[in-house]
Amino acid sequence: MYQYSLSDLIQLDDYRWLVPRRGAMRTEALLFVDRALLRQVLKDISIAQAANVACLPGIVGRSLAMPDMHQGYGFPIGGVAAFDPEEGVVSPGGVGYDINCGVRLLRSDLHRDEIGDHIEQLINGLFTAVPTGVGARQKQHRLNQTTLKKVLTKGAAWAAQNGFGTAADLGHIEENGCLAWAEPNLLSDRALERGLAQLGTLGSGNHFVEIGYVDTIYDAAAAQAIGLFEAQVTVIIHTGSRGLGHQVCGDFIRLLQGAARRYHIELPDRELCCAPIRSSEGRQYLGAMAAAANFAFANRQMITSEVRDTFAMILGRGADALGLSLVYDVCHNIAKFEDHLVDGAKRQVLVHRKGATRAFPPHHPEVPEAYRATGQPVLIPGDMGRYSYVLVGADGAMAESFGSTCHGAGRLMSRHAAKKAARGHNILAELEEMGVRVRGAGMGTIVEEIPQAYKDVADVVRVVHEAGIARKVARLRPLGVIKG
Amino acid sequence: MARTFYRVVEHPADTGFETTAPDLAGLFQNAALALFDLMWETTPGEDDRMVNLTVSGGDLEELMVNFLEEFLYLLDTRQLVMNRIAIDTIEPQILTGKAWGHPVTAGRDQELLGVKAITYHQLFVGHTDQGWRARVLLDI
Repeated sequence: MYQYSLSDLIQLDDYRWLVPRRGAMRTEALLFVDRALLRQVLKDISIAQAANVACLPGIVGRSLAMPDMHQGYGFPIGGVAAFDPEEGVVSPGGVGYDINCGVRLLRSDLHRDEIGDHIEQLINGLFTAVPTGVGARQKQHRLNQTTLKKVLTKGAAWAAQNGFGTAADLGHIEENGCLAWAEPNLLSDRALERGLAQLGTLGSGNHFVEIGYVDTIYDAAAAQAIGLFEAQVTVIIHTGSRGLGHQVCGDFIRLLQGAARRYHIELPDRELCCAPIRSSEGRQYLGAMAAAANFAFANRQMITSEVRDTFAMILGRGADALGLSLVYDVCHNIAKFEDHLVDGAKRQVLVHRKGATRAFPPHHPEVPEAYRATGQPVLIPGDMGRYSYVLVGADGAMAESFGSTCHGAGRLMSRHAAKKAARGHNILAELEEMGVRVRGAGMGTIVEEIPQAYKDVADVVRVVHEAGIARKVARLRPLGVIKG
Repeated sequence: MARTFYRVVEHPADTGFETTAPDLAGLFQNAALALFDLMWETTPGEDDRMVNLTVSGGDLEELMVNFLEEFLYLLDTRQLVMNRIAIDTIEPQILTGKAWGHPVTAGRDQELLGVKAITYHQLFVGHTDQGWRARVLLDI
């Protein structure tokens, strides 16, 4: 794969770098990065991956990459690309193995001082209530196939209708927590089997539940509209579709390897396997992907219910009395049909977001009524020691990035390098010194997720704010985390 | 800690391994053991059970992905952590074999790494001057 250097790129301004067309590229790639982040990006092959995406048939506009971009599989992490429904393709690699991995933010009426003495209990309580680690199983909510298919059809609504949330929650989830075109019958037996015991589980890797508080407000009016105030206790949940989604992705990567050959699509990378959107294979993938996405929406909803129950049990007040309500839930591994303005004309495109977040601006019809004046809330988690951000979508996102922005900090070190960096350190004690209590399924994961292993998310967020594709509202600091 | 039969491949976000063997069966066996060595600290026991394996794929690389995915499926659905692998027959598009292991047991099995999927990214399975070689990257 071509290794890009600085001299290959054209700087458009402080936050935009253009990758000109070369070879089989059908369009340019645009990177939203500043010079400092670009220096990191140039160390891996993520720019070549963004260029490879630009080679795919039917791409509309530019192949885009967000400031947290880094090397992925096929698509770069942080990649966004839109495709024409008639001429374009859909690629499982543009969504990822963890279909509808995403983040949700809960607010509360609690001041951080009110839970100061209870953090350890809350973290231990969450660690007990939410199964963590690879292969984690939820013994309390094991499903049968009939019920699982209802989950795959209805998404978060299934959870809310079965006592794991409220109708109000659903209005505060991207797509109201359900992709209506889901086709559960397209999932393999293996995918279904993997999902039976995994609803309401966190999983492994960088997935987490984090209790934190609002430490800085940048935009008072937007914060008020979202329901945030200084020192307020918050909870972030980051997880996805678990083994069910991984199996769907794997199944369709296998199927689509052949489809690319059948439809004479030249693949610059095997992980970019794809099929025409209107082909049988393309439609099947989209139906199965939507079902897996619904599983992820339901999964985060179930964990939300566990969070509410844990807080209520330990603090001795019901979740309603604690004001534990859902601010918003966003997907960051997804492909969806959306309307966008392209060359001045409104048209439907299939937007792939691989490690990128939808960021619709104020007055967009798909933004919930409560946020119509501020824009859609966007949640950008950082590493487990520093901070996370709440943003809102901005007009620039519709003009330039198919309504998308970044999704996180992006790794700075490989996992191996992180382990080396952590040698000789008592990571748990050091995090506690920073005011963060951590419990995890395995020390291996915690060590690999040390704060130093990630870019400073503030650098990433500054770029999207300054570039006008999202707007900073508040910063959250962690108090306690459970890790997968 | 990586054993001598494989080498960890650095990746900015994830991880992977390279392994070699004099024959194809040994290569696949090493790959499965490398996967488990990265994922779990485990010890064999008398209660280990045997699982029969039959895996197919369009070519050697797809066969490797499907073979390793088989273990992620067994882990998710039956909680099985494997510690011994035997390949009985192998051709470019199908293999049969056996794996021995036990359900994850607290105190006996320590999770080191959660693997979501086996990827095709920079995947290589082939014969080189040094014998059979495989490079596999894992989605974490």
